[in-house]
Amino acid sequence: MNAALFALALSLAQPGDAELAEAARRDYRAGCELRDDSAAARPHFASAAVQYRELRDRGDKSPELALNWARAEFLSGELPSAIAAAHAGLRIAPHHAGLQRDLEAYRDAVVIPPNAKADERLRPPRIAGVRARISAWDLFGMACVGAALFAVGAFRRFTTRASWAAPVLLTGFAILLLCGGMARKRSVEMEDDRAAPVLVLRTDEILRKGNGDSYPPRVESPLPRGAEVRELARRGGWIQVRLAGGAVGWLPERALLPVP
Amino acid sequence: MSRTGDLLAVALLTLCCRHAWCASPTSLGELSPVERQQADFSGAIAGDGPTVKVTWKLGRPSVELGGDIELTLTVLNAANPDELQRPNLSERPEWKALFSEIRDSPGAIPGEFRYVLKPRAIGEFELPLPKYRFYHPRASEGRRFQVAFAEAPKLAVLPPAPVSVPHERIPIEAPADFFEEPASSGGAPTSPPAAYWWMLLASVALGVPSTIAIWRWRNPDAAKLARIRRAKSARGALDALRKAERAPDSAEAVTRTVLRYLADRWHIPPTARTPSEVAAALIAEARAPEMAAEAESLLALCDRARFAGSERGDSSLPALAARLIERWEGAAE
Repeated sequence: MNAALFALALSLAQPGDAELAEAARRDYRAGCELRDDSAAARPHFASAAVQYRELRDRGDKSPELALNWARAEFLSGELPSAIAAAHAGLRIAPHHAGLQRDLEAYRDAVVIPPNAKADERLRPPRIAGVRARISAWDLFGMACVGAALFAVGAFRRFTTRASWAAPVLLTGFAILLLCGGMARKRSVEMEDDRAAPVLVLRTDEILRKGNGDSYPPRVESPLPRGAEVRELARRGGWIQVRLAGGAVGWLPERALLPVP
Repeated sequence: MSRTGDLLAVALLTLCCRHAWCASPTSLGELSPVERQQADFSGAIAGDGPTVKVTWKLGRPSVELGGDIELTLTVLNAANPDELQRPNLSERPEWKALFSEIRDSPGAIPGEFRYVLKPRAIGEFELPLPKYRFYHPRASEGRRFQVAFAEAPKLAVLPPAPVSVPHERIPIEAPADFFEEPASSGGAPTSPPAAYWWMLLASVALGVPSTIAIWRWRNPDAAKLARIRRAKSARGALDALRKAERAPDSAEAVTRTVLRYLADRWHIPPTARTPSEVAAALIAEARAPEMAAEAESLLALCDRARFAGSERGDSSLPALAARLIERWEGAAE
């Protein structure tokens, strides 16, 4: 009973989602107004980032919130958190142009050592092409158009046997196949993402050949803060990761930030 | 005699100058070399007025470690302020222990000596003042070198203030749209619910075939239409035969019904009216000879019942006709 009352009192004491969103927006605006003085602006952005994170934890899974959150993290100087937040948003809405563009900007800000070998490449491939911009709703709309063409073509083909019915039927069927293929590919990508989730480096860290500091480095120069890697396995406080170029090595768990 | 008198006068004058009853010395030159070499002698000679006083003053009571502070020594009431010797603090071990730097600085007036000091460590201490020995001509013999005592000032050496780097305004570097109004969250879901996809799939998988089926049911093709028509004529003929059982002239009704049925269903010409004509027409339509014979026989029975008063009851003709029609339809299926 007491616990229930305490929980109730706690929930009443917490600001509502609308108040929290307004507070975050206010902090963000304050930071923007002080943009010419980073030392003064960054605390405001950091506060906004904390509040956006809280809103997300409360269940707001919209890509716009992730966009604001990632920007607040970036402007507060937390590049790894910004990249992780952008990934969190893209997991919800992979097609979101704003998040894609922002993630590219964050990746550009990562200081990648030059002259890396091909398999030691750190920067993931650029998000580009029409396919990356097609949303699930776009796909659904295309499928509806394909289904309509298919239905009309099939109806006329098997009733009045109109001469144009067969091409329309085939066009509709092709569109449906295309949509199915794209949906399948997207599903496979999501499966891959779940199987090897993205992790972001909090600090510069050496990629090692084994799960311990005694192992030699896998890559000569330390991986920079903000570099993205894919998790393959975990063992004893270390995580086996794969770089964008394909090189595999081990990093300490404390140095990695998971995508929330 | 006069020469002796002169020498005596000079000796007396010199003696007088050395003693109190003579005029007091006002410069170092008037002191004997032995007196001038007195240890710690500052060179100050007390005048006719008050005795020599010295004051040591710090520029401020505290200084941060690493900072400089000014110390001023002022000698008062000296008859020869221009001849005073500056105490050499930098050579004194107790001062070197306290201060890393001891620099001399010119005083504002004669008899004033300034020093710039840099403390070595944090703490609070009294300055170890050196003895300031001066010459007091009016004192008794043997006590003319006196020490002018002074109150030692206290110095507090404070920890250095945190280094305040001048605040430099560094703008945040980011794309311009990062500084725009943050986007509103919420709104439509980012992907259609799974039910939408199922509805689309169901509408295609079920809707298209069912629509085609309905259309085809509503718009049958020629074969089906003929089949329907055939069934319709047979059904109509059987209905009519059932009614004919209750008709007053059932034979005539049966004849009419059978002829119409044969015309609609088996396409005999409407001009074939007699039994033989009907049989011939059926043969011409490539029907089975048995069917032609049965039709001819039935129509002959009807004619006999109508015109010759056949013994066969009228009521049996409709039933016979119905059986024949059913057999023909069964054979046709």
